[in-house]
Amino acid sequence: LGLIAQNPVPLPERVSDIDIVLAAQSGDRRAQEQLFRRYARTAAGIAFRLIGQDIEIEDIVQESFATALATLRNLSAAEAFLAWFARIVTGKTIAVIRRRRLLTRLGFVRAKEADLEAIISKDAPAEIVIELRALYALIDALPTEERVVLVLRKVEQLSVDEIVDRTGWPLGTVKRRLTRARERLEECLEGPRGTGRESG
Amino acid sequence: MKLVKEKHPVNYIRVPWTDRQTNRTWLRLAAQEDQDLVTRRRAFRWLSLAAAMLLLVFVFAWRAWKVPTQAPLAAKEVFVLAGASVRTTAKVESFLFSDGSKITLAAQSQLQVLRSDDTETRVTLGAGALKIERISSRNVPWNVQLTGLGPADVEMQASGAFSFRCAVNDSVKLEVFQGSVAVVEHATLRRTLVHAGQQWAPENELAAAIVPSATAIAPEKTSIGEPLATSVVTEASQAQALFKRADSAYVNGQLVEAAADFAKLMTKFPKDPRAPVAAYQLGRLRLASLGDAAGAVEAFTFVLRIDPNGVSSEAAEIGRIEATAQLKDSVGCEQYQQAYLSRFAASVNAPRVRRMCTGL
Repeated sequence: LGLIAQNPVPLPERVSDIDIVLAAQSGDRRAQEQLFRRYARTAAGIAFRLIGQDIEIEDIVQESFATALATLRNLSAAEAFLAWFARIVTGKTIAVIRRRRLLTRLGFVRAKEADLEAIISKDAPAEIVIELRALYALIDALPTEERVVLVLRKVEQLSVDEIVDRTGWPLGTVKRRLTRARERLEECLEGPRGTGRESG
Repeated sequence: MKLVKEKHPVNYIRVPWTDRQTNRTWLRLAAQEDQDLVTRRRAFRWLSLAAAMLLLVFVFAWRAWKVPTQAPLAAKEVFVLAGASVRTTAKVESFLFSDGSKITLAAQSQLQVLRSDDTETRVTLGAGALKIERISSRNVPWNVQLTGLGPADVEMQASGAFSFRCAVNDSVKLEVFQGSVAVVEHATLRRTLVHAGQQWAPENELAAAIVPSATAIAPEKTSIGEPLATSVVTEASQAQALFKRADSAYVNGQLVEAAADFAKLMTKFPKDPRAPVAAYQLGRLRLASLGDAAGAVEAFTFVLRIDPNGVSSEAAEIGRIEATAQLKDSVGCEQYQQAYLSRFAASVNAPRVRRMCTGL
């Protein structure tokens, strides 16, 4: 979550999150729009990094905000908005990944390879490029849950406890999935089929 | 291999998101919320309508279920229907009738319900006492016949709203609390109107002069007292008594006796206004219950002769056709059919009549 805050969206107005959330909770339409504009890119980032492709990102952002604005009154601590909202976005993204997998298996949609060149920034250090290439080459082969914990841990740099908080899954389950996914990633990085090694 | 923790990968992933997408998504979100609002309002309207309908159905079902079960729970009152025979033992009991009236039956009383419908309520009190109350001013006549007194049978008639008490123990006694009650003594055919606040009991001398009702109607067979035709009993009242007796027998299921009385009225008092109705009733009885189709034709023909344009004339015409059809008399059937159709071709019964003689 701290990392998300490091990439802030340019603020339309210099008003604190808490004030905007409180105003939005009271039904202020302008505050709700301001909240949207402030966190739309954040939501898109979370979804994009989990999916690895520019697929249905706008839908995820829209659905996440629709849910968030509808249930904003239930948020008791305004300062916890970002963590709460990130949970919503993550949940929506997981649902999209699962649905797309099912549709792919059934043959309704065609699997699309991630465009790694487009994803990874040109100025990224070599070791990060290798790591990200390996990771995004691998994640489509992983089960959805392992894919999510791996991205949250390796890309978003969340701690295990933060992953538990973000996904709502039990601690033991998160650890087990993370261990399995990490093993696969390391196999991928060290093995002959490692995409990152070939291109790095 | 370990990731370099100081450099966060998240900072090196380019998120393909533009301000245009932000604007577009916000507009879509706003439109979605508007649409959701419309959908919610529409759903709320339908739900409200469904809830109202359900409530209405529930209320009707509740009332339909509750009314019959309420009577025995609310008090010792039950609905009684025609044909019921009630006998109380040591306690007072109350009963309700379909016209909204209520009978309170004293201990050791005996009541027979002969008829209870939209046209009349008729009961017979064999023993004991009863109080009848009706709050509504419906014009359904109430008729209480006090029996067990032999020739001294008394009939009490009331309509509208009324309240009265009558007893039939050692003697007949009537006390009217509300409305008015007409008392008809069968023996003398005397009719007395008793109003609210008044009491009534038969006079002693009347009891001495009483003659059996059957002989009162047939004066030529009377062996005691003066011939009724020349004394108290007029021709009209004899016809009335005869008609009532026939009707009572009919209601009691004594069809042969009823037919005999109707026939007697028809022949002895053909000019009495009740004669056409009696003849028609006789025709129906003979045709439908007594298996006497030829006798039915006679009775119906009699109706048409004495009252050709009366209220029973169309029904008598039809009855005559039915009777000849039952007799397989195709000539007679067609003749009566033609007679009917020449008079009542536009009647709603005409199509049915046209089919009556086919296949004979």
